[in-house]
Amino acid sequence: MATNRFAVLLFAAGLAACQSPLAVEVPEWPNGGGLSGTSALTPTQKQTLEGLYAVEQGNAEFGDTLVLKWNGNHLGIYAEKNRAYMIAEAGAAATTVEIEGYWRFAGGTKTGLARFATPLAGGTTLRLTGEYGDGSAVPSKPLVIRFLRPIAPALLAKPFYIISHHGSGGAPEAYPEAENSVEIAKVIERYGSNGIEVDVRISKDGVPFLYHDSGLNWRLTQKGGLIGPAENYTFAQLQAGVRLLNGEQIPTLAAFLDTVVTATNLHFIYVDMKPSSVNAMPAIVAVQQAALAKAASRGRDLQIYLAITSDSVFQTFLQQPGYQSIPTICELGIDILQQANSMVWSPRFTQEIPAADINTLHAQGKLAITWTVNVSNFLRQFIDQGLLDGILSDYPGLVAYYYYVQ
Amino acid sequence: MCSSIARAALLGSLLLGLPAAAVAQSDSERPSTVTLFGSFGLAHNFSSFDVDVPGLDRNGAGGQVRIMWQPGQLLSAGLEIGRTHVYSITRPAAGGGEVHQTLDAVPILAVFGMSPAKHFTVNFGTGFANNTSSVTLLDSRASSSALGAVYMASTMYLLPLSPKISLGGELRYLRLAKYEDNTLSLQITLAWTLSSK
Repeated sequence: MATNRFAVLLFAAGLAACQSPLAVEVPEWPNGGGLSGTSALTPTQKQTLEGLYAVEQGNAEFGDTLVLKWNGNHLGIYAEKNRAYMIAEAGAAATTVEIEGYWRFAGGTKTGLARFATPLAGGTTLRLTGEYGDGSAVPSKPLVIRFLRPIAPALLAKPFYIISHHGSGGAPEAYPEAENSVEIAKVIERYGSNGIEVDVRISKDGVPFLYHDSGLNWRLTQKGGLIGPAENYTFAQLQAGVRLLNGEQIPTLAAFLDTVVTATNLHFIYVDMKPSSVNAMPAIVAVQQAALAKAASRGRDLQIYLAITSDSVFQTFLQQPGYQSIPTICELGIDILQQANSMVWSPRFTQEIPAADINTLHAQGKLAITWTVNVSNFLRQFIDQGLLDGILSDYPGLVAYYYYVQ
Repeated sequence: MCSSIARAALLGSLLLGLPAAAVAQSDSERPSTVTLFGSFGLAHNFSSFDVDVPGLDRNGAGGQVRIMWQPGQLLSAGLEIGRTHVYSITRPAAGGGEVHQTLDAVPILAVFGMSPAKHFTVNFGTGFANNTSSVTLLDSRASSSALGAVYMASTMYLLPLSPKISLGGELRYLRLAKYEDNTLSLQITLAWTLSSK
């Protein structure tokens, strides 16, 4: 009898343990924060803040060194320890520069508010003094960082592509906007990226749209939507019946690229052609060409590459008129890259990537990048080697740290 | 998402509960029987959704056919196939008109049962379900399917109408693990003993 009761309790516990995944939210400053009364920093003031800093207080969470780098009006602060980052804004008060935002451990759930202040007049040593906290609580733990040196000018002059892996941030819910969405394109630079990789599929009615997984599921979409292969639905049905994790709609490739051109400063777009892209590759190419033309008309330094990801995609690509002038990335071998006249070689990081091959490609004016590198040791190794032109990662802030700290 | 701990607990309850009950009543004199069960009734989805879903209807119909072999002991085993409505949503479409979408499941289960008291039977099952969502927008309709694991627990109360036929009710819990749906059904059940030795 006792065994039976235990079994019933165990069964009840099993039912109770079935619950939704942990939702991660970006903390917000109460009443909009304290920057409302400040004025915008001058370009010189912004430039002064950018560089490498020693952490004097707060090392337990953020390590010993931080990189501060502006991305538009947002100041990205990147650490190696805990893959931590901060996204902040700044303003000039009467006598100080005020900085406030939030911190986060990438891929994890720990987050909180953070703020700094430093005298407007500066001094011999630039020191940012502030606090950080947990969740939405007003920060109270001391965080003090001291300026060490600027980012090496050679690193800023040389194009190096930090490409966010479909804007996932290590997990679909790790950024406040869903991956493969128009919304993530608008904010991904804040997290250290200057490029983004997206995944294109073809709807039942031939529309190129963005979605990663082979099936619609609650990992990427809100519960209550459609299920099964997304390609089985028309684009209108997908728009009506599916919402991404934060309520966003699945975008067309055209809408996504138009946002990139008109509302971002991204430089590198990596369009991963999923298997169904062979069903309408001319439509994908047409969207790419239209976006490139619009970018050129606006004087944008923007590369949009279609990725050749499999043999079937390659064979279909060879059937496109003038295929050798279509900007592509090749994830396959060097011989296929040469046949397709791809501008970028992108082998998986676990493959052998001979330095001689990269040097040969560089001599031809081509680029070499690798995917998808999330492990610190590999990131450091690739960056220290100095051969690659970019890295695809779920942790763009960590890539930014290793790159700019050189 | 149902955690691995939850699944382990559910499996543990199955593994501990059934043999214990079987041992407790193994002195019963029972014939070896093969019985066909047919059930039909109302299903209610009590899952949590990430956000409020306007136009969500959690109620629908479900039913299944189950064949069970009881080899003279308390424990019985068998197979089951059925169809369960999971939920439906009807809401205005952006361009006018309505969009209507449904999720249905066709579970196929291996079922284990026991009868801890006269007329009562408790069943546990696990297997796979073919989950199908359909959407209708204006004049266009499409559907798509995916397989996923399914777990079931039910209790039946049956009254004999004749030596071979019984009628009663069944309360049934079904978990569709892949899409994190839980349904509770209240069904009418007809049992027909096909053979008895």
